Amino acid sequence: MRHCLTLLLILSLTCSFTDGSAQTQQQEIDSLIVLFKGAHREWNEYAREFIRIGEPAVPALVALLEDKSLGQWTRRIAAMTLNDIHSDSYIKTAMKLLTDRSEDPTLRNQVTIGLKGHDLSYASEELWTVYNESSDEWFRSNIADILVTSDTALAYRAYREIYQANDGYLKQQALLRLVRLRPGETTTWYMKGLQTGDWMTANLAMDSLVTTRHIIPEKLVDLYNQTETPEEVRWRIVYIMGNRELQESLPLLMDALRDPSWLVYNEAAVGLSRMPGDQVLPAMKELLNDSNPLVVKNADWVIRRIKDEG
Amino acid sequence: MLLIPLLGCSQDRYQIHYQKIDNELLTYYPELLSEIPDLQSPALTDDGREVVLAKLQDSLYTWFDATVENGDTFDYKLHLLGKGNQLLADETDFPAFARHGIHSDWELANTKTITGRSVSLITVDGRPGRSSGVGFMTADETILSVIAQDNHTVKNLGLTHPDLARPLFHLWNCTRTNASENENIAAEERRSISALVYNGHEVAVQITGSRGWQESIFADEILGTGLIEISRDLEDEETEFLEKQYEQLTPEQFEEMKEKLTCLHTGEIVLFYINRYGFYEGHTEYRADPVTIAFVFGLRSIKELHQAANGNFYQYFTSHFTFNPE
Repeated sequence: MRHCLTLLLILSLTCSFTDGSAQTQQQEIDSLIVLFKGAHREWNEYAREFIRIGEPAVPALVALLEDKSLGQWTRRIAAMTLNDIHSDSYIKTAMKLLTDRSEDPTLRNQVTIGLKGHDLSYASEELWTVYNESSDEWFRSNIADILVTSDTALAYRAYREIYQANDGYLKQQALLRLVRLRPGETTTWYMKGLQTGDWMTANLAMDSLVTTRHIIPEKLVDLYNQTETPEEVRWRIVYIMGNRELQESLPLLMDALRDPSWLVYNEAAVGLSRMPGDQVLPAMKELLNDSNPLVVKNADWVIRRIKDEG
Repeated sequence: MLLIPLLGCSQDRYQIHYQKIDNELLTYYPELLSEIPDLQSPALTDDGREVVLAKLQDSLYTWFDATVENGDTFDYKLHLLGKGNQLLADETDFPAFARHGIHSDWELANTKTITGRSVSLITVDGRPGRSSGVGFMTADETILSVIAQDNHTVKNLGLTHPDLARPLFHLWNCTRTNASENENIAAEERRSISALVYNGHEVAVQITGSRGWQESIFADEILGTGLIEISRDLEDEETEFLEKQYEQLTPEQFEEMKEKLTCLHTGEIVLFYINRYGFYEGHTEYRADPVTIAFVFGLRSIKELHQAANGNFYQYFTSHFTFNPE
């Protein structure tokens, strides 16, 4: 009996402490909301406090976001803060806002960040409609990011379109997502990247092919050997093969020593100098008798470089 | 017979032949002189500092310690604005260049990597629309074709690459000191440099900053953000020489040639490139042509420059460097 009384007393104290704590937290949230409504550049300081509080702050921030009588700035900073808290209880409001065509486009774009990573498979058709309605490629890219965890087939379609329609950052992001969605298509997509006129995307594809596990070297060799393959693409392929120890590397680099392009045969020589000496040196020594003096010179350079570094 | 080339190779990379000057005769910024002093500029003080006379707004003059040296870190990203590595040469890739200040033909013909990057990669990154909008070289040039052709010209001038980097660093160091001193004085007393007095010439200068920075194609620590514009007017006898030599040019061609000979439009990244790699950039907007540097700063006479440019300034300035050293 005495034990029961003690337990009751403890429970009663805990509850009143929890009530008190919750009350204090609500007061803190209310104060922050007041500050947030009048915030300018310092809004991030208050946002950090909301993020620290986490889930309990979501209803108040959602109310702020839904309040159309407030200025767009206040609603945007509420959205940005909710995006960072990334709560499930924000999804409904964010989706409503995203699909409301009368809302401010910037705000609609803003909430997409908070929807990324959630399973919205039940709304994938609606998301696809929103994606197709827009001509803003950044907005479309954000919708595609949401589709990654909602409908991978639609996400793939969206990224493929975004890849084709853009250059620069959006093209690169689309390329990375396409490869992540379909690892089996890694070489195909990165090969497209190698052949694009966009320098940064081509660099991304080249560097990725140096490191990826999903490489099909035969495809690269085939592209290298096609007569219409431009000089810079051939150079990129030689760069990739020279930075990987693949079975196909040595023969390709040997061929590339005879390539008419300065870019290509120099890269081949550098690549060969990185390969294991026991494989490369015999082949290079044979080339010392070649009829092409440039091939002889480059073979000689490879031999010297391997010996210097050996 | 072998002694002659060997003597040529033994020169000190950083040898300076400036006239010595008594430090007590000098007035340094923010102290000002209302008249141009009758002293040689650039000059060396008794304690070995390199000093340069500058002309400021309102036709006032002052001296700056412009010594070219390695200093504190220079890194826009970290807001560190020290002198940086002004004397550093790429000894790993170009040992002969690091020793003598001029590339050996053999060394260039056998260069396939610089700072661990292949010359092909540097070339692709350096073309227009890549790591820089205007590029570090034109689409038909390569990093080695540019370095090799400029090396040939610098050799013809009887100069070294550090000789050509030095006046540019002098200018850069003067403006650095000018800017940092201006932070400590009242706004109404601040003056900026309008020209340097250099080897008897008045060299007009203007440096402006820009947003962001340009990364280096060599993947080294060098960054660029400033736009450096330098020019000097032709003397009467120089104009006469050019008019006589280039009668066959159209007025537009003549003006183009004159502009390229007398004006430099470059960035601070190139100063470091010249000293470290012997790279002046290819035929882009930011090229710091060695002949132009030598003209503007009075390192060689117009006749010597004409000879170094194979007796044809117009062709020299307008032709791209497409021949690779092999």
